[in-house]
Amino acid sequence: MRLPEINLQELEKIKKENFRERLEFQDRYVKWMKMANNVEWSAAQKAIINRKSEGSASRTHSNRSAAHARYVKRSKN
Amino acid sequence: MSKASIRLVKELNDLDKLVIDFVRILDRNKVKYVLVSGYVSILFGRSRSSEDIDIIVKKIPKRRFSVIWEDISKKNFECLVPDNFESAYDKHLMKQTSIRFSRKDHPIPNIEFMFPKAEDLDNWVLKNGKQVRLNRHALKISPIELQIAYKLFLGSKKDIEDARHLYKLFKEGLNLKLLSEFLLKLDKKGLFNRYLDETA
Repeated sequence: MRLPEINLQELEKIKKENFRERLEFQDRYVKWMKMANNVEWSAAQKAIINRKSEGSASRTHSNRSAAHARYVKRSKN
Repeated sequence: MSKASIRLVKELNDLDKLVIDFVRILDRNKVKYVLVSGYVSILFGRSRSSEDIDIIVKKIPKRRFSVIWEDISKKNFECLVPDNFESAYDKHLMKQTSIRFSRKDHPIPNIEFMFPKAEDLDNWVLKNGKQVRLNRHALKISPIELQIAYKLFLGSKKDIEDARHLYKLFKEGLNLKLLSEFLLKLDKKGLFNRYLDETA
């Protein structure tokens, strides 16, 4: 299998450009926050943050369930 | 934003609720604390989440810490690292290592609880913490000027974005002299000019 040529300089340039674009987006976001009412921006933020914590809670639950299932199986054996 | 405090009314997310519940325990026990680092940016609307919330707590004697430990446990929190009181105080906090509290059975997000590590700086933060009135709840955060400079000092992309968010949001109300002094002390004037202040 032929691997692609990797031009590190090119990748560095893309990385820098992505970061610059991200900072620009951030400025637009702060401008929007300042104009929007607090309910609007905080509801959007809540959706992002709660989605993440719900994900981690269900992961914890499924990890525990799997651990419990392993324990029950071992006990039976 | 006034010099003494910031008033913020918003819809509370899970991180806000975790912080409010935890600092209520500290307040009830009259323990001085200050919220620092990423959560300060998130509190003010940064569109990202975090796995931990950093909180610097004024050093307290072991006996007092045991009362707080009990209170924290009663309120459905648990210490993840370590899981016992003796080790938490003697082997972690007193050796400038953090301990982590989370809601029981939910290790993420968690509260990274620490006594002052960079003694002079952290004690300054504790003394000069800024009051935030979040809906009906009172919180103490690190001064925004220091947060901006310190985030630049940490220097990852996420940290630079956090610094920029705070700067753009609070620009008009900042103590620019204080910000400039912290930038000089942390040797981050260059990074500030490059990423935050386009006029430079």
